[in-house]
Amino acid sequence: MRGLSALLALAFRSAWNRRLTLGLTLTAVCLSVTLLLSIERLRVDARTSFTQAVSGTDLIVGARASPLQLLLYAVFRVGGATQEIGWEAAAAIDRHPAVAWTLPLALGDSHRGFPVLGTPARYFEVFRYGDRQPLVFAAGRPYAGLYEAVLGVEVAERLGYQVGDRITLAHGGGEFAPEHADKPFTVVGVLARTGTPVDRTVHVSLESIEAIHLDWQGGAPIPGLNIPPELATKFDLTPKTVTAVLVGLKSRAQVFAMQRWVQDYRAEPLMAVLPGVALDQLWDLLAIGERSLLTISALVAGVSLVGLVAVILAGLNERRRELAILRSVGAGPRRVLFLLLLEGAGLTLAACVLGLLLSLALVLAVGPWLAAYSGIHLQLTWPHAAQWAWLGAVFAVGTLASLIPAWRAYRLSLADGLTPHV
Amino acid sequence: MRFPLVFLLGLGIGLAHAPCPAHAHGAHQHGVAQLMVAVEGPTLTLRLESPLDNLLGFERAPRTEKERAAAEALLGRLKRGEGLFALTQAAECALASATVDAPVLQGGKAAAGHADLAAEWRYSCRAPDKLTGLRVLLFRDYKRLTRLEAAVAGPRGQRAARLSARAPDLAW
Repeated sequence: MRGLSALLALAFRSAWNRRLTLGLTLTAVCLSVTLLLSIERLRVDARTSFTQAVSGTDLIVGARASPLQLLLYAVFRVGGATQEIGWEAAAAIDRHPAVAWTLPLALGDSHRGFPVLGTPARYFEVFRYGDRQPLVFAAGRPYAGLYEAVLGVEVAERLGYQVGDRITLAHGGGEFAPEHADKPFTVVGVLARTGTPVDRTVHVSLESIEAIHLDWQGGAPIPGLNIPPELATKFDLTPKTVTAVLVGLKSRAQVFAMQRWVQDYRAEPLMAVLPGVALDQLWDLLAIGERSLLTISALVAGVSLVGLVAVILAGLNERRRELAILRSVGAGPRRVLFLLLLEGAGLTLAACVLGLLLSLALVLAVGPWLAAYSGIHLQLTWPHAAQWAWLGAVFAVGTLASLIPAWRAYRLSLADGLTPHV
Repeated sequence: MRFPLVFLLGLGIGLAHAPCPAHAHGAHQHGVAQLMVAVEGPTLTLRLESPLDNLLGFERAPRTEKERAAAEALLGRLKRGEGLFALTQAAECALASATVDAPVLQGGKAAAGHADLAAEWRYSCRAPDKLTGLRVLLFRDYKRLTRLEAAVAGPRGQRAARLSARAPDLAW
């Protein structure tokens, strides 16, 4: 043991002497480890975030398009908007005997970059996320009337809103979206954190969505026509169209029969998607991209390890004197081999640890932003199995690769010991 | 960090526009069939939707004696549910009902030169908790069937799987 600790101290001091070059290669390996770990983290956490967002919803009904487009737009509010479906179709689904509940969703408006969702107030009772968890109010209550809004926690935190604040909605998304300034909304509730797209959504009733668009046509206010907020109640505020309908069934066994019923709906072309099935299909498609990203980062790690070995190898020539002195004070060639191996393994280990720390720091730094704008929640946790596997692989490859300079030093120290002129 | 996210989302959005035939009404691709699995309490419902070609090699009313015999054999086998799926033994599942719907073989007419078959089986299980998956045996006898797109609605949520002769097991 004493021999090992002495050798460790020796290896460290020798490396410290060459700290600039070794430090730089260490940085390269460390960054490549960070890249690997971060991509793996993003891959796994994106899946979890997406999977958490739909729970207890048996079917999503929308206009006939790609199932993935409907899923991404209706649940995650990303991707291109799908076409609307008529209110009568939504009502017909609601009347179907196999259906336990429906949640019509109206999307399209936004508030300072956050999507606005129009849906009945029963949303807060029947909607489930994660492991069938219900939505919980951190403050306030569900909306009961017109011009009342319930905010997801990200919206409230990012924009500093509290219950009682007044906000205006924008028509459509983007920077230059015209505002529905004449009909401001009152924040009546803020939801507790869910880790799903609910957190970055502004919820209002379907009637409110209809009311703010009463005096609008073709995406802009009708000039000269201004219906005051209090007069909007005089109009029929039943929505004419909705974006999608979330459907919960009385029995899971009915899901495929209900899907066929929706597909065969005569009045308009509809589509029913099993959210879990569509998500699996999405992962299936994304797998190619994920695999190429991982392959590239594995290659980057490989290249940086080659760099590390090259630097140690190049340093050997300068260190001939050092190694010869070691030999002269009684260090055997094997000990020299072990010294070099220790240096390579130590450097790789240090790079792995630093890379891990850096990747965690990155989660801390980028995580909130990513959660607010994409709904992907990065977990600040101990590495999971796949990340450990990558760390192990980098360490093993680094250690094995440092056998090359170690072997060379072993050979050199044999030869140098035999030839008198060093 | 920005790159992979943008890449992932971009890929997702790009692919979201790609055609996805899994549940489109009237999808008909030879070699591929759809399997729907719903597990609720003691009842397991399986539904197979396949182009007739996968199971018979032709998609019209049988003309020769041999074709007639093949069609009869197929319909009989599907009705009896024999040697189609292997369910977890311990779950003690028994076939409760089966329906086969193949208009072309049952006196109807084929639309646009293609014809499909839909079969539905309902099993009732004594120990449904032990039912954790099934193995598809169809690939052995129907060589023209190369891929089965499976959709599962089970006690632990929904999932999709792609089954083939090499990977005939479906777990949920």
